[in-house]
Amino acid sequence: MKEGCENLEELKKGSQDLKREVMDGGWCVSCGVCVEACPYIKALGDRVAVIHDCRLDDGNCYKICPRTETDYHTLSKMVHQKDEYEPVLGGHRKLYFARAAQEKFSEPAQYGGVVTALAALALSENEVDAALLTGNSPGNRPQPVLARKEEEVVAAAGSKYTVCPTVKGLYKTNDDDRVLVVGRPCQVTGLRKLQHRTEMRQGKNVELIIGLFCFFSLRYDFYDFLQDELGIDAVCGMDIPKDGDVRVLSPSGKHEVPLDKIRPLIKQGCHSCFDPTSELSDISVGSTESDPGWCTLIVRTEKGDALVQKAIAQKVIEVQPYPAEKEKQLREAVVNKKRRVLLEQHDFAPINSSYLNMDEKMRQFLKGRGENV
Amino acid sequence: MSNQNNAGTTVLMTGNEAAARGALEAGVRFCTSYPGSPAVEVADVLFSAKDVYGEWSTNEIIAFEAAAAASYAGLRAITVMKHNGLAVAADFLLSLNHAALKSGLVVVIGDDPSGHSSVNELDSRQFVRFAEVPLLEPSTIEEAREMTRYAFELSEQVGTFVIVRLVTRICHARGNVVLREIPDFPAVKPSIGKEERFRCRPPLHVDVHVRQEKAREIYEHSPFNSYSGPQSETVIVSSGPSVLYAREALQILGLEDKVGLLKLGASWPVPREFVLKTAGHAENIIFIEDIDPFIEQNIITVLAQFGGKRYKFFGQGSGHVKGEWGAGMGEMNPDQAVQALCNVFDLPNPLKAPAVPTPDGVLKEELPVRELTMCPGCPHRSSFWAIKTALELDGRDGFPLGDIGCYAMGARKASNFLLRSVFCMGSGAGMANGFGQLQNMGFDQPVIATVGDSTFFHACLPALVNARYNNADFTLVVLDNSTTAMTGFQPHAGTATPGKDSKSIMMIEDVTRGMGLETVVCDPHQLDDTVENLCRLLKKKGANVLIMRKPCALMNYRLEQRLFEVDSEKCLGDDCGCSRFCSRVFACPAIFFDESIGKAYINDTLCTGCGACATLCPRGAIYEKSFSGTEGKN
Amino acid sequence: MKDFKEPFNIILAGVGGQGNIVASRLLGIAATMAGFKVAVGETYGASQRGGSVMSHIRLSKKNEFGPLIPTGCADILVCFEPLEALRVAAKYAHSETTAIVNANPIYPADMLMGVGGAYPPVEEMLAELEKMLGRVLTLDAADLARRAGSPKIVNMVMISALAATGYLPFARSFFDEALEEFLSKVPAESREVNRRAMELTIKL
Repeated sequence: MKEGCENLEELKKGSQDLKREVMDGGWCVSCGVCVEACPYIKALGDRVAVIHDCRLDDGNCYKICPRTETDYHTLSKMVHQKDEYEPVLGGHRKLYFARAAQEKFSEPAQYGGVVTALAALALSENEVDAALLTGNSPGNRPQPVLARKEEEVVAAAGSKYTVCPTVKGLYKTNDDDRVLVVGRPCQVTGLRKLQHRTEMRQGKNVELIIGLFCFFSLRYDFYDFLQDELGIDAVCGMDIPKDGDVRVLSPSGKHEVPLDKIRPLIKQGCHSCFDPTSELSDISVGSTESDPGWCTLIVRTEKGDALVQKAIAQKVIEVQPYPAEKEKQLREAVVNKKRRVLLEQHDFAPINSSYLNMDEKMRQFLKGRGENV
Repeated sequence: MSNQNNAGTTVLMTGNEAAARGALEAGVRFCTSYPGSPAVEVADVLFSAKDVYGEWSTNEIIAFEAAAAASYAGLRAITVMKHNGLAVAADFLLSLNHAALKSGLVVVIGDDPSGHSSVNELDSRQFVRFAEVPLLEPSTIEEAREMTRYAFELSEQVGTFVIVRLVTRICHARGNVVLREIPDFPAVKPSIGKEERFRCRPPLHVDVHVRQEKAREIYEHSPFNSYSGPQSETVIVSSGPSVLYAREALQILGLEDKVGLLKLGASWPVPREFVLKTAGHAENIIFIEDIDPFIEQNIITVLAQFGGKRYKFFGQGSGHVKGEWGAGMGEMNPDQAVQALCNVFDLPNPLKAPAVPTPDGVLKEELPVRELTMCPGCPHRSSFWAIKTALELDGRDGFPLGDIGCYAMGARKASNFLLRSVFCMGSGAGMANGFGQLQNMGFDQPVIATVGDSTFFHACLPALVNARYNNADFTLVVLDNSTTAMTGFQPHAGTATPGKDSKSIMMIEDVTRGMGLETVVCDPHQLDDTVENLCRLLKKKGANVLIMRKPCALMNYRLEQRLFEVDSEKCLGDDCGCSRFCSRVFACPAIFFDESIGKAYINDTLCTGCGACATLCPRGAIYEKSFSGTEGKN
Repeated sequence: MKDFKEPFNIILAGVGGQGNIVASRLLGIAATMAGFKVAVGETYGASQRGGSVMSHIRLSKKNEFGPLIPTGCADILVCFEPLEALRVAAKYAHSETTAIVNANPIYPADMLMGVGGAYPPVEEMLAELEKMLGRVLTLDAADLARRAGSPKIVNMVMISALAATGYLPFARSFFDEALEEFLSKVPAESREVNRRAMELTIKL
């Protein structure tokens, strides 16, 4: 294992290594950053596959995958332009409770509507030309959406519970498009790895990244499960509490499903995820257990802050201070996840932490629950 | 050209054209065929003749049956097929021979020694012997005309159908023919008499033999059998174009005065008295012929039974004579004929290839062989990429089966050996029926059977009925390029046909939906849509159908000449990361990677303007060029 | 005209799809008009799909010959592609053979795919031909074809070149007659293109 990912320059691995190490092992999380980067990797639904051996033994796909050698410290340096590294929540400058202040954004949302509001604002203020989002589609399987207008952003609103290789949509943008991406943590990581490869042409048009909180995502056969077991076609909301049954809300009403039935549908690669709060984004947004009307909003970078402050000033979102108690709970939840990964506690499914490049001190700190959580 | 009367003129024509001319000169009125190389053009020519009914039948057995009906109704009729077509028609052929025929019925079979345009080589003469009907083998183009003309008369004399067996080196070769008159035959009203019956019954095998014996008597005096050269102790016996090779070999070796040549053209039943009379005197008999030792074994039998002395036989059996691939395999040619005689006479071979590999020259190694691939623009190339993509995305180790047609190229190296099987017409869907029943035993790999639009009508319909009836699990992918391409763009039931109302076109999806099979139609150039639909169908139980429809590029190019070009600024060459996808992986022969500029380049002498590459280039660097040379970059 | 070599053998060699069959038919008809006994041997069908193709043309005053030329017996080679020129010369040429060669390469499918080795340099192949044969004429037939109006008529350029050299054992007028008859059956726009190809080539 190499210290620091500057050494990735020396890494010579290609699509067949990606296939063998990530896809065949079941570690792929369908983030989509490798899909359509070249003609050889395609996605259908939530399945990503290498169609043909490109015969390059030094491939871009391997370098940008969030499940190959990843060093969060080095990537954080790139994002924040400084060496400090916050190992639990990632670098950030502000922490809020937030919600959309306008009905057009709060109405279609599942929780606070903050992501929709911020993305729409960035578009309408011409700070970006397009927003790459995960949208709804007939049959309710999510699809990438490249929104260029506010209505298109709104149409993509609402939480999705499954993986979706959204980042593949990036390769359909023009080089001179300024793009905002909303993604899961793995997608954010993949995008940052893409930006880190300065020799690669793609990904340099990403202006701003809004990362979502994600502790796990489900596979597409979740929708078959809903059909077969519950007889429902569409999900308007889902609540996954720490204990007790999962509550699934459909147009026909509420359904209670034991967590045991949902757990096997979790994408295997999610169990190895080290980044539940999208540490490398400009802004991170997640739901809050206590109040579905409000989101947890983490402002990380200067760019992210500029957009959030504008949103507050224009009354597109409203914010409240984030209580210390809540922050403690959030940190605990994150550290527990990281620890489980580092210890490779295979409770429900295999875990592989070998892709994580970090110094030994940091590793021990997180394994031992860390002081000053 | 062969349809005009022009009696007396000498023209250059192919063996196929000559056979057709012969049929016209005999007053043929009815011609049926299913396209099969090398004999396709026989039917092509007859279809354009006036007063002749011609049809592309859906398959060879139907063609044969229809022609037999015309013969029973009083018309001279002809049916044309290749050796595989003979196998398809076999069931009828082997029962029709039992019944007496009225009007001349001629079957033209185009064999393909060495399988230049076939998946196998078959010596149909063995089959004719099996069927116990008369056989004629032309050695020259003019004989192709003469024998076909004569065959109708012979058929009526003997009372059964006659087989004229051509080979590629007659069918596709050209030679001089002096045209004879095409007479004005009186119009015949086709009819079936009240008392006429036609059937096959086991005891009629006796009649088969009676007719064979009658044919033999006629053959004893046939002008198509002849002996030339000295009454020598060594005689060559030969048939077909091998006769000309043998003659030339004798010339090359200076043996014309030492070796006689017995040419057999009316070769089955064997004219044994003629053989004994002309060649019985010899001590050494050499046999030179294509593929099987047919003449060889027949003559050896005759001489052994009736010759009254011991002979030395030199042929495929003794190892002195070899076809292109060995004894009894591959076509005969002048080189093999010369080598055969050198083997028999223990002479050095005077024929030398001039290029002795030079240690420093280009010829120090074998010259690269050209792998066969689909034509530039072929829609199957896109279809195969869609199938490959879908199977990888499906992820269950699925595989596609192949069939006969241009898409059989998908089983070759230049297609990365995508298709797993190629046998006979319809065998892909047939085999899929078997694979489709193994699921209960743990077989969990999805199966695709690919088939062309013409092959679909020829052979697939019963396979699909079986699939529906027995609930087999597979997806039939119909590669619909709207023609019978491999044999020269003949129409079929699913395409527009000159002279037929377009309403009569049978849409494949109507047929399969009528059978109760879910059917989707896609454009193979729309990769994402095609892949999505195929993946969806692969997951479903039972049989279903995906039609990938796009016309053949060569056919299209005749209508509109489009050309595509690479924008050398947008193309990033090896910096793209696509690893030369268009030229190396998609592998259209019109695109190559120009090392001198480090970019992809489209060869305008080959490009047929299908535009598939433009949809696939990840940089959008390929655009359509307007034909006059002005640029239309997008 | 020197003594006629009996039989006189010509091979047209190229890649499937280049139109060698049309070209060989034209030559055959011209020779028939000139009173020769002609045999032409072809391969149709699958070899068109990017494979190597040949047409064998045999002229005789006396006899009927089979449609295939024996090893080492070709008197003229008309080659639409350099690799095919070398391939056909290596088997069929003799020391007095004349070859007319189009220098534009067509890369075999498996070479394009990167699994077939390297295409030999054209200059090396032409040099090898010069060593082997009596006479080699090279031209850029694709360029001439384009100038005439269509990149697809390399075949017409090549046999026009042959007709122009005077190496055929019959007068050029027979070739012109055969060409006119052929063109009369071809769509009008193509006629002009083909005639232009003739003119441009013959000027060379």
